[in-house]
Amino acid sequence: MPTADWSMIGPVLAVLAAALGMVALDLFPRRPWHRSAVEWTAYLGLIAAIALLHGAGEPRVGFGGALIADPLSRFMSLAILLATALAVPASLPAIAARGLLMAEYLALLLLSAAGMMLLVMSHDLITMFLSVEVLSLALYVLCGIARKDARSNESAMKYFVLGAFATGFLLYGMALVYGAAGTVFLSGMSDGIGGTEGSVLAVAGVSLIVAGFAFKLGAAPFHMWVPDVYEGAPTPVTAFMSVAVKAAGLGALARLLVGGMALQADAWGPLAVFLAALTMVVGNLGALTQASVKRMLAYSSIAHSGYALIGVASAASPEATYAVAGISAALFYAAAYLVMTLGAFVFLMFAGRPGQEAETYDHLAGLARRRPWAAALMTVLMVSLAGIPPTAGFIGKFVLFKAAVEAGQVGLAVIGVITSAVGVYYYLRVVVVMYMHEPEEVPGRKVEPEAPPFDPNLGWVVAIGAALTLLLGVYPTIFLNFSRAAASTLLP
Amino acid sequence: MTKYLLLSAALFVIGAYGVLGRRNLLIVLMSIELMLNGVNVALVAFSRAHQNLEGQVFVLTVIGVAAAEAGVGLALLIALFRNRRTVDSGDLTMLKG
Repeated sequence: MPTADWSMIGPVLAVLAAALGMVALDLFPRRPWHRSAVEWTAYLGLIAAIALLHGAGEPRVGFGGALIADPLSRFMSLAILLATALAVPASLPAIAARGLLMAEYLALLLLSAAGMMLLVMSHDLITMFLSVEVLSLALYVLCGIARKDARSNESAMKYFVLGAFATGFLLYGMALVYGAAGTVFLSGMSDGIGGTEGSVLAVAGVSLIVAGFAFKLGAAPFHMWVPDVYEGAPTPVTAFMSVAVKAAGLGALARLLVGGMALQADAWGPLAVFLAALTMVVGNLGALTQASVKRMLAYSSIAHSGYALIGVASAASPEATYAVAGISAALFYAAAYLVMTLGAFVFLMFAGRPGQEAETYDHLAGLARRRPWAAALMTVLMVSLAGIPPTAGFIGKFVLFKAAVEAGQVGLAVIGVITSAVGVYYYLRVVVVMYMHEPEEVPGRKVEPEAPPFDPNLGWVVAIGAALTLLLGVYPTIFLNFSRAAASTLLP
Repeated sequence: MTKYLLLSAALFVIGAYGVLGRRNLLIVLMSIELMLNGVNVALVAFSRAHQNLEGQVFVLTVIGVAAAEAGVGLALLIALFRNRRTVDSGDLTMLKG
């Protein structure tokens, strides 16, 4: 009789309870305090989840082998909860400005976060598939939650069709791997499959799974949906999905490939190298030509998926220490990417006015004069995304390239450095526009002389993002130790 | 065994062709269902070959997820149709760069 270890999924249950509680609150007659009650239910759920997060001790397997609680799931759950906790206050002004249903929106956000936490804990293919779907279905609806906005509709439909298509490939890959291994549990999977020579089933299955996850991570050549979906979705949704899905997907991919398919590294290693190289090039070149800052950030998020995949590619090394270094670097990069990209997307709302976000470079022209603090915070985030010290982006890239060189993936490190140099151009262009350009006089468009109204909550979210970016850049050791501990328990 | 896998692959490929080749979003939704059901055939076949029930549990999960996915997909399609009066994927051209 499999035992159910409820304490393992305490954080997931807390988040789910908060989501259901918010929906239940919506059933009562509206009172003046209704909105703040919903808001505080969300915060309470997230605080409870962080408090209930399992300890960093020995890995524990529960629920009949379906779930595992280990340092990796702890590290990733914490990152996901942080992203959610920042996305909630970032969403409130957009909810008010667009007239969205607050409880539904926040409940979907939390449901998606619950799916992500289950994903990084899942220890068999069924749970993994189910949690991928839980997080995706909630996100499809969140993208289209501005029902009256045709752009939001289009974004959701594109995401749904391509996402469901990719889910099909992921599922087919899982079925083939089950066929080759004879088990869906990660613990016996690698031995069950055995060597990959001559095993068409195993090679095809692993490839399809990698392709499915590459889609969720927005890695080239499965990135076509990213710019459109990120541009059309409400900006707080974009901010949340661009960081949290990647953190969760990367954690699950690392667990599946390094933990469950260590013996098949010769099948997925070259794939990861190919994906990483192509994604870095496509993402950075795509971002160069964008006129919309939101679209530029979408391509930038593709590029950063490529950098994180360097770590996965290095983990294909048969040497255990190099594999740990690769995964550890990828996890640290996911955390660094999370704080800086979330901050950058929220800044687009912060720099605009309610109902009209800053989208093009022109909207940001001369911002430093009107809003010096906002411009300074964005400068920190852009410098970090470009990978310049002393920021999280620099340390993240440094440990990644170091891990790649040690694992013998010198080519990937070289491509990474060159594409980073390309990235400096379009990230610093934002800074140049903010500090050195004057707002243009366009006939028919009034230039607002006074500082536009904005919600101070957004400023706090951007400030926290920038502060964490600097913290990870200046004191990286603590966080690197966490990510190394998470990576080292992963190996069988 | 091989026959079942061929049937499964055929269903999956027909579904994938439908997603990529057809422009009517309703047919695309049906094709996605076909892909998932193609996988189900493979899972049941493997389950029988390995003489364990994990594959069949997987199939039941997939059927449940497919129902939820169809529900969400149709809801999004209705929202899209109300605003745009079209179910043709070729008309989704507002987001470009």
